[in-house]
Amino acid sequence: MTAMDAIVVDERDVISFLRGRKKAHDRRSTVDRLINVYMGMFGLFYVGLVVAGFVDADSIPEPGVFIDALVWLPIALLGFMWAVLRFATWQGPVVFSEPDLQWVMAAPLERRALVMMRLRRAFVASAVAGIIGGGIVAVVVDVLLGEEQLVIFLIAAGTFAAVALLATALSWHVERSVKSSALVNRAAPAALLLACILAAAVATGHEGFVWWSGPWGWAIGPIADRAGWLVPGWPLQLGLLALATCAAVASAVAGAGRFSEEELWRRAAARSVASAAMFFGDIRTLSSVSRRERTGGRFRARRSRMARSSSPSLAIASRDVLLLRRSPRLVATSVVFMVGAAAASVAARDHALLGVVAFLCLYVAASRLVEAIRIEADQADAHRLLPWSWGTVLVMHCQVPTVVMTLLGWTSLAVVGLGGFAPWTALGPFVVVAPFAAAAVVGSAAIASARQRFPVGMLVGGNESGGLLLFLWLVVGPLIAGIVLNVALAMMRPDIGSGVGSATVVAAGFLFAASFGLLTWLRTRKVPG
Amino acid sequence: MTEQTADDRQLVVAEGVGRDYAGVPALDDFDLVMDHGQVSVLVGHNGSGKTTAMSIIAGRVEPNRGSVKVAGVDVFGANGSIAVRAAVSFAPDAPTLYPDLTVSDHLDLVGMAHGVEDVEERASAILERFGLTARRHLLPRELSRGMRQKTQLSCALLRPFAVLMLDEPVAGLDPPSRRTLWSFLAEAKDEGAAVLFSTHQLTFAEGLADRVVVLHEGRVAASGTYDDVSTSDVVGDLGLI
Repeated sequence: MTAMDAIVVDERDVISFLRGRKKAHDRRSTVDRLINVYMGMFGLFYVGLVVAGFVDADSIPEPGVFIDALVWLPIALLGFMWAVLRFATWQGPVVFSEPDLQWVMAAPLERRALVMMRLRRAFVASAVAGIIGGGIVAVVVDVLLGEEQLVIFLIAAGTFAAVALLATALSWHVERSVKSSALVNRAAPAALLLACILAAAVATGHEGFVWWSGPWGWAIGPIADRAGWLVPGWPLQLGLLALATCAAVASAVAGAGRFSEEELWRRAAARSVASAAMFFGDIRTLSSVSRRERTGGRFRARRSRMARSSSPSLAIASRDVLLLRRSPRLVATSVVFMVGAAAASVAARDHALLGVVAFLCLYVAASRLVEAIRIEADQADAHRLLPWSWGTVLVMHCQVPTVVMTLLGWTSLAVVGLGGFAPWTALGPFVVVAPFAAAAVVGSAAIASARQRFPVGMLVGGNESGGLLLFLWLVVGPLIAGIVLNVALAMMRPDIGSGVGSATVVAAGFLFAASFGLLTWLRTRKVPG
Repeated sequence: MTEQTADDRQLVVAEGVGRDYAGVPALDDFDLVMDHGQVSVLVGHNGSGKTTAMSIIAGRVEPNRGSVKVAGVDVFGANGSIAVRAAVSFAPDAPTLYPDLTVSDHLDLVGMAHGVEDVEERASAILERFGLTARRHLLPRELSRGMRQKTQLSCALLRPFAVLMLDEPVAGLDPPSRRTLWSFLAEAKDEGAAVLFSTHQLTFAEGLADRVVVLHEGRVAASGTYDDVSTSDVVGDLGLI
């Protein structure tokens, strides 16, 4: 026998041997297993409580509210399908570990069968998730409208399971091919545009378009018809959905043996980090891993270089400018939230709640710009290379975000003024206080961002105050900024104090003092960890 | 008995192979021919393209340009996959082991997946020579980096192969283990396998390599016998000796 002769070994024997050996070294104790069971049951209990709370007669909304909301469900399903496809650009339904690829997939075994084992599991999991999702919708419809339980359950569970299977099948095509992954990565604007078109169709009363716009609409059409919407072609929708799902699943099964090994290696490398981040709810790590894996090694990195600063004290500012130039998405999202803040501020005259929305948008805009502080906190020891203390470095990182926020603030005020949304005389004081307000909001965001990540152990360690701690952890930044800005706004009210000019000066002075206090406090911080 | 032609002797033929990462060529216009019973060595600095070249030959990374054939079978062709995997044994530079399998479990798994009949006997012999016998029941986390490297090399050597490729196999190995590895490579060569390994230091190729390929910035800077290459200006300029 030569090495070139493929030896026929049954892959199921190899997998079962591997499982057996792994199980033999599984050192989890009975207590560990019982804790896992407890955690699972605890989660189910929580879900049960939520469902029971909803089913409780006193809290049931008017049926009309739910029927109106049904037309938005296709957009939610479109979002779900898009999220599944997007997930497949860096993980996917068939993810092997690196040792699996090194020792099992590299052996002369039938790879199609090895992939099918995982693909089959993904299909079953997605179908079960779909049935549960559809079941929840069926329960809601049944409770609100008194529909026939079995019929509505069968329709909802079937259509949701079909959509989940369709998404999983398509996601395997994304996972197995470099080109498909790149296509999905580039198609994000198109998906967003489609969602906007669907939302516009709903808002303008063109529901017919939504029901027939794709599998997401076909899945909801039959349920909507039973709930009171008029969707005359719903049996056809069921047929189309079944056809599309069967075709996608058949195509995925047929393509199970054809894949790019490089793509599987790339996903395997990210798998352990992604799993740990998911387990600990570390969204920041998850997002950075997903971004790196989706784009890494495929696109040319931005070649912008750091500007040479004339003074050592500007080194951190130069580094922050470089970060924003290399990651324009940070500035872009900041601009989007600033636009949201301006729009909500204008509308807040009629709806007071929008004032809160405006403030939150303003805070998020600032928090996007202090990414350099989060990076600093992620690798806190690196600051020892610099000739400044940890606190001083943090304060230095506030320079560029404050300037950018001020410029964004002035631009927003100019747009509001030019658009005629507010008189120039009313905007004048805000032009004066904008730099001080920017410093205060950036300082608050900097305090929140310099703390490293939330210790999730506090949530799962049995401490009943864990939830409260998480809440405080999340709100501390917005809370500080909210208090400071609200006090300043109160000082600027025309009915308080002698005049607009002096009120503006007082408010600016207060914001200056508050910013100074926040930055001084930031400067006293010690290296975390 | 028919006379073997040059094509019959060629186990690996890579022609004009190129691969770009983020628009930057990591490997360009790479040619390599490996014959039965021949040891080839890729020498170069970090980032010179050694790992990319080996990964492409092993079928793990797809080239942007060029073709690779193992025993006449296109590595990236539709029907070549199982035959190529049966022929090529590849150990990457970083040990890739199951965290919940012991040293001997790894060897048993590899032996089973490749249909090796006398796994226990062969595994014992390899472990003995690498000095791993006493540690055969330990998990990877209980092993040093060098021990993990030797476990990976043992797995690569246990299975049948026509082409043996080791990416920086001496990294983390002590001198006795390195000598043991050299003896394994010499045996593989004597049995007619084509052997390819990569290293930063040209001296590791001395006395073993039939052919040395120097890679620099993704391109072949020099190639030939050890004596030819070691006396060339390129090696001195690159500081590889």
